[in-house]
Amino acid sequence: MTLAVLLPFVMAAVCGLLAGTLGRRSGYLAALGFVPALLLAVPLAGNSVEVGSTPQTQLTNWVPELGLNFVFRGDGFSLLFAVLIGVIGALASLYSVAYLSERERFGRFYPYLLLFGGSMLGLVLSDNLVALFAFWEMTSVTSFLLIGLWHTRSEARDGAIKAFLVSALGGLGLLAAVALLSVAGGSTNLSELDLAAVRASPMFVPALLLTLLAAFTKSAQLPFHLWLPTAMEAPTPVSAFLHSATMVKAGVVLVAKFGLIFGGSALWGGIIVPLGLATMFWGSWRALKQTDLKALLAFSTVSQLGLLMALYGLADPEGRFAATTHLLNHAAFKAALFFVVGIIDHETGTRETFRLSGLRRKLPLTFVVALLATLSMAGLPPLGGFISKELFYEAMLHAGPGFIAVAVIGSALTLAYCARLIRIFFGGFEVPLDDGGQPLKPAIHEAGPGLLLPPALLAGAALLFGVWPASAEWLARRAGAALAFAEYDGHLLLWHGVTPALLLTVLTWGLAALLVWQAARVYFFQVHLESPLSSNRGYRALLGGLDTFSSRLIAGTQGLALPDQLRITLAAAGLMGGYAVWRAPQVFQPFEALPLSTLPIAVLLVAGALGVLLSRNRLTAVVLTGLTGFGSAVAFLSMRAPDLALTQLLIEAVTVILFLLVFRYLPGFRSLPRGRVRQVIDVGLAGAAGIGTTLLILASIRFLSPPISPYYLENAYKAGGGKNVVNVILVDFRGFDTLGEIMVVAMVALAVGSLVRLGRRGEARSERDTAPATQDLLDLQKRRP
Amino acid sequence: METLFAVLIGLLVSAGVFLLLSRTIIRVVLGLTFIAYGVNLAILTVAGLREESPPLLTLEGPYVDPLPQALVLTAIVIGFGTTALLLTVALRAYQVAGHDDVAAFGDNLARNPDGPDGQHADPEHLSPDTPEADHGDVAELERLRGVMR
Repeated sequence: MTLAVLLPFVMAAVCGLLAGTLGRRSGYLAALGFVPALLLAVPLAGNSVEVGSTPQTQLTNWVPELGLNFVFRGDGFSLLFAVLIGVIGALASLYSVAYLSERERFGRFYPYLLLFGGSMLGLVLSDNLVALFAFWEMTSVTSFLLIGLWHTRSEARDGAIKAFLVSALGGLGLLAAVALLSVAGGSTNLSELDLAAVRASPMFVPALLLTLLAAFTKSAQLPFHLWLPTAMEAPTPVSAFLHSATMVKAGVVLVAKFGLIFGGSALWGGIIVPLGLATMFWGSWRALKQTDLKALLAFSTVSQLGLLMALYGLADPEGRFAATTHLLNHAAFKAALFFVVGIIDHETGTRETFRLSGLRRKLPLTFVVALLATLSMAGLPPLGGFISKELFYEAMLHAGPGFIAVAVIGSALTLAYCARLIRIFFGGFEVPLDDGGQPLKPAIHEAGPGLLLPPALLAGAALLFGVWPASAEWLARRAGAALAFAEYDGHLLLWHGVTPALLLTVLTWGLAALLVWQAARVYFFQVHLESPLSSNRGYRALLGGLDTFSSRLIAGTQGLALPDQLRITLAAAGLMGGYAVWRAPQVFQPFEALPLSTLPIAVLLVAGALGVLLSRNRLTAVVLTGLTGFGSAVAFLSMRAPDLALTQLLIEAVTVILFLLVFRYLPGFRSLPRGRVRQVIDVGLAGAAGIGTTLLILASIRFLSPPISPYYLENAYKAGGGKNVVNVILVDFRGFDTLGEIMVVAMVALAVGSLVRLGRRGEARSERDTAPATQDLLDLQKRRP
Repeated sequence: METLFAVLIGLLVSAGVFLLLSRTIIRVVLGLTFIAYGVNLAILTVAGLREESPPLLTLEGPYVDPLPQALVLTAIVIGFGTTALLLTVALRAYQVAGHDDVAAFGDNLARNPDGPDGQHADPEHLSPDTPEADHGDVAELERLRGVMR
């Protein structure tokens, strides 16, 4: 399993390096990268996923102290999903070889695709929550790169940014949820969480809501569905991989896996099921309106994800079983359809439904594939989609009448847009024309095997799941132990007698027939119906608002005059420090036992400080500063630190000299008025800073942990060979620190030197500076008669 | 003892902050110096002030804690470096801007780049603040260069 996650990353590097020499053929290498994931089918088919057997786990330590490890746990559901990713990833890689033009930058395309595949495999296989979050974010980043692959187009950039922002928002939610769960459950591994403790903890509801935020953003549920349609700017094979089978299902995976933790809560189903069904309805409604085939598929994906969410959200074995079945079906038919749309785009040069008709005459094989996949999407027998839709109805019948109504209407709309999609193959063939009435492509012919094989395989799978339901059931059962529906004895059948679900299906077909019959009117009605709420408008407004807000904030707080800037900074620091002081217990020691020697120290320190505040003369100010400096040197002596006192005296002398040097060039020590309000603020700030520091020191006098100094006292002579412990610490124990200090002083010296040289007034400020020699020459020239 | 020093350090820091917020550039530098004094003393005070021998192994123990002393020794030197650099920057700022009023120094973020001191930090262009005499000197230099050629 570790290999399955690792190899795509390795192959990404290989593909990136070899892209120049291999060109489009590096796609075969990329497909190789998904082979270990395909090989996971072996344990999946084996006994390791049966009920009662422990799933195999592979552990790679990362930061064990923090509970950060790569734990890959191969339970049935993870393995099933990993194999699915492997299959679609390999097919997408092979398809791209035929699909992309020779001029595509393969040095980017395949590495991105593989990086994405690896992150996705890590995401589904990871049992460690922190690693799961890391992989989750990696899928966000890589999908950003893939959607923005053709970054010269502004739509691609926009779509990539939108997708990234929305899923990154969810990613932050997931991080918080993971933190809450691991604190509450006492482990960072999903399978080791103490479920009872999590359910009892007050963090349960926040963690639940944050998990849902992550799942909804990733799986494009209302109101976060806005990014999926614009993500269609990615190359079609990418759409087939990311937006049908993998990335968008990450949210569904999350809901499926965490459903075991949160499933018992009424809130969980109460949020997911309505939102999922609403998404299903809205997605299919919007899909019916689209004229671009890819956009139609995108909204269709939104709708199908809503259906999956609703099923997993039911959090009962029946729902999970139905959802897992439908997940398989959906992956098969949706990826196939994306591939088909890619073929149509590739061969005719357009994806607009109204420009295309009668394609079955020119693209007969594509037509067969498209027909199978579309029938499955529409939920018509004898395909897999029909079976899982029956299960969906069964599950919804238990949920309530309102849900049933939405489900039926959503399915009817689904049927209607499937009819729209398939209509491009019927009617008389016409050459697609561009707006100028010119044919887009001179001759239209059937696609080659490289383009046809991947969708044909997937469509074959969709047919197999329908004609021989036991195959789909066998696959879905593999996930039973992991998702706790192993005890559920539902079976997949094409004909299961006249049940309420079948009646609902008939009703659906009737509605859909009505929609198709009145297609033109429905379309007209849809186009003229403006939605009052648009996610996209909200997104734009939010971004614009953020822009405005940050500009104003920056303009209001940055680039001010230095004192004002400092006031803001100090006030913020004061608030934080004040909170710390408020929380800390104070330690007051009485003033009684003060040695007399402290009196001159106090006098010196305070006199210097007050004197500088009151002085009107710069020389006085510097001398008084020196007074405080000498005061602190005496204080060091009284604190039993002779070295410090010496250093302080030395530095004090040098500082005073430096000040005097600089005074040669500086103006008088005038006192500029601050203004009354600022004066008050400053006095307040200064007072708060002083009192805060005092309290902070008093609070920190307690020993928070045993001191480490005895070590130095014991080893100074043994290890450092010196009797002055402070010096030994500086030059032996912390030698590099002191070296760094010397470097700092040297750099300061350089900076001071160059600044002072710059500062000679009225001279050129570059290497064209007149050097002394030149000056001499000039003098010579002047002296010449 | 600790309480006394805590109060003294509080005084030093508040004096330092008040100076730091003033408009004269030299006062700003002095303010930072005072804050540094306060912090240096604070590090030692927090470690606890005891009537014991300084950490010289030639004397009889017990000794006071040597570690904060080592830290403060570094801090004193670094503090001096900071002061020196600040002073020179202050000097340079005064030379470029022609005044020592911190509140009137502008930069690229100034809300009004066309203001009296909204200069752009570009060494190739003379600041509008530079006294006119400088420009004259530059012209003189150029003339001399011409003589050279």
